Amino acid sequence: MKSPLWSKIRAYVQLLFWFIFVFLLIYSRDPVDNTFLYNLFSKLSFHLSLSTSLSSLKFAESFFYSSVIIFLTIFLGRFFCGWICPLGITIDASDKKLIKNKSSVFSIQKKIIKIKHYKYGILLISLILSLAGFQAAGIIDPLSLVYRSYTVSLYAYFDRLIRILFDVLYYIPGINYLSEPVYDILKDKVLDFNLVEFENHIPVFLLFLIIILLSYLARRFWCQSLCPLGAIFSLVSRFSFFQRHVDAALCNSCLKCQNSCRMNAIYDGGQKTYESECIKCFECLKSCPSKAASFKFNVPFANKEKPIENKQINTPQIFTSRKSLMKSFFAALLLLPFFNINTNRRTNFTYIIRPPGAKREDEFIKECIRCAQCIKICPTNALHPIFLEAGLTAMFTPRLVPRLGYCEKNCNLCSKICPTDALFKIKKSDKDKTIIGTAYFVKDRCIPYSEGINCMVCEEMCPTSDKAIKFKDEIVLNKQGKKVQVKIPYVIENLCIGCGICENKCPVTGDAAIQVTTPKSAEGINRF
Amino acid sequence: MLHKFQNYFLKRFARKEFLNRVLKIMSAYFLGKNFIGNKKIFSQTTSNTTTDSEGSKLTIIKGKDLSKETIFKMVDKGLENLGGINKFIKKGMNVVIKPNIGFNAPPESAFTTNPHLVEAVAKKCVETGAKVTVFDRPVHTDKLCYRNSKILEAIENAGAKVHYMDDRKFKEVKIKNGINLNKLEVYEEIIKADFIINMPIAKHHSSANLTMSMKNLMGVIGGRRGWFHLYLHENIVDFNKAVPVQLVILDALRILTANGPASGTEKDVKETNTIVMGTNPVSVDAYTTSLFNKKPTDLEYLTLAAKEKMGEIDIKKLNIQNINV
Repeated sequence: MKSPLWSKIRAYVQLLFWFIFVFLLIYSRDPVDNTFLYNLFSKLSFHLSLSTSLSSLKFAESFFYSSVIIFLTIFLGRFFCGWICPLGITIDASDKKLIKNKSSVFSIQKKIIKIKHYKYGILLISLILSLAGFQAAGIIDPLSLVYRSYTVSLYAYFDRLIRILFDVLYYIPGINYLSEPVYDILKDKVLDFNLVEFENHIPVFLLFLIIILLSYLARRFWCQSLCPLGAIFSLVSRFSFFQRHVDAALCNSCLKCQNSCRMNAIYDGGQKTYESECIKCFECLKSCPSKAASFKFNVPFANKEKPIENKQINTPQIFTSRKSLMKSFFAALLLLPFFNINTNRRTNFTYIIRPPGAKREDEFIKECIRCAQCIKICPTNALHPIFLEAGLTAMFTPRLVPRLGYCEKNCNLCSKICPTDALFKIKKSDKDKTIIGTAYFVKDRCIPYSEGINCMVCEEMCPTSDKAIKFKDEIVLNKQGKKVQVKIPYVIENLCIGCGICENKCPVTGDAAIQVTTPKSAEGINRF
Repeated sequence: MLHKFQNYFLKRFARKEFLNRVLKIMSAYFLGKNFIGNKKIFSQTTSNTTTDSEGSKLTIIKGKDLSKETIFKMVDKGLENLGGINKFIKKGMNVVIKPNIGFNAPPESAFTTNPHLVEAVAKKCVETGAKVTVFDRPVHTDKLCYRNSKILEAIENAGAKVHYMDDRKFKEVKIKNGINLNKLEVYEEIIKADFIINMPIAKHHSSANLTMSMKNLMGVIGGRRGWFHLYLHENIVDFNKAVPVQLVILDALRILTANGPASGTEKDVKETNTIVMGTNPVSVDAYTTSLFNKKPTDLEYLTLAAKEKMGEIDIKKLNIQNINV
């Protein structure tokens, strides 16, 4: 493969995959029958399958899909990063805006080669933490991170921007006749059902922003030196058959390829390549003026002797040394005691309601990969990522916030789309047996209790077939001090499934007068 | 790093020009918001439903089963008895059909209006050449409710316009002699409409006792819905003062006899195969109580409505015409 056209083809394929990713993200909403495609992207990460298996000590189903990518990597090298990865294209696109000064790239290269092995350390730390029960992999894995950031921040921000734009147009006389039909189409096809907003969108967005802004240091800085999934691919692609070749007779060492390489994978005056770093973007084919570069299938290590011959040229090796691996190993051990810091251990814990079908809290935290697919698909905007409310180990896991959205009874999408086993696959008909919480009354706030006026919204909304909220006639004092007979509501704990619609629809201003906590029988940590 | 950002922005927009542009857009927006977005409309709608001779005339249609053909036939016969759809709806009129699409549930559970009935009525209206819009303000997420109640499909089949309610389009309406309220936010399309057809489903309701055509109007009222449940009966009467409904087609094909409005199971659903048509919602509701073996006076809002002289609730005094299909 010699044609410079390949770099263009790659760019289009990458764009295509980005569109597929965004399309699946937008359309992972209510009528989803087969979730296979919708959660495929997060199943492709070998890093996630590995860490989920390590933390839950179970064989992760997603190995079937991620192994395919690993298998292909043996033949094609780190193609996933350059062709498929949605975070990769996001970084590429922002790089174009951020990196203006191309001459500085060469001076950066020497520095960045020294820190390229950090990704192996991060991979090691993430796997050790997984083994210790903390699924940190979900926080930093690119596929989890990109889905989460797109859902919780980018798509939600985009949705809001479009809505506000058309709101502004709606109120400008004369324009709204034109803008409203467009808005209707957008609302139907592109935007979410209703305006969505998420708790903790700022930490999610900041993490994403930092990764994007790292490109100020070098292009694809994240992919070159930090990405743990990239580390796995680069370990495998050392043995890949698909390699870059330079015809020494044609090459005049103009260094144009070296400058154009976004991964800084080319060294020795453009003649040699770190196969572990090359993401097969074919930019070097395009930039080479003398067409000396080409990609060929080769037996790995066939030309391994050559660098030894040219040992006088000082080429730094990327592969991490035993010493630095030990460093990251001890760093991981040192980090372990700090991950159970949880200042909300005794208070907020009761309000961390997990989506229906969630396993016991400790198992759930180990298996949840924080991809936010359940958060995206929830039709009522009820699920939100948590930040530190349940401690560091539960960072970015989903939580039901009843005051913002309730759990729809006729819906099982979150458990359907979950790419791991963190949520059991439950049927719609089983929803009335799936207990996610228990409601209780805050009698000081409740209108019939405190003001002596009939209300009954919670009782009306309760979806269980024998209502978990019932009422009795009682005589209470109203605000004027008179005795009045009102219908007083109360909760029957055995019937309550904790869907939270009562809390959501409670007409009391501010905190609801009926609130949902984790099930009472669960004694804090055990949910079932 | 910061000066890079500054340079970037300064190159794009000269500062003055930029501010100028922003000011222009903002002033247009605020001016527009004051004129178009103003919720207050000063004209007052009054309910024109109360005409004693016409209002107390009810058509009760009983069918033999719940198949689509029977329901279509029932609607045909019923409307014929009322004088034909052309008596009410002329070509080019703006017709609003307001079914109950309040809950995300299949039609068999009887939480929402029967989709075949909606389709039959919408089709009749469309055939006259009127512009027909169907909408409701559901309790659950609107798109799910429209789809799972199968009413979306029905509206599309009939050729009417599907409309999801928009929070920006509520207008303030003053109510003369309201019991509990003196103003309400009513949906713009309802105010603009030439003809409103109310198509509720009759079902048990824990706080209102039964929910039928009068309570169904809560779905076109804006504002905080929960608050209307305090002094619910008074508010229901006030809704009917604010919204002029010209025709009520009540779905009692399947009725929910207990655990209403949205938690009944199969054993609570009773197939009564009945459609009640009338021009006065109060009388329609009064008759429908008999399907639940209740008296109209059991319902506080019906008693209140009778006191306000909004319609006849004494079943003996109603002019009832029975049709069997």
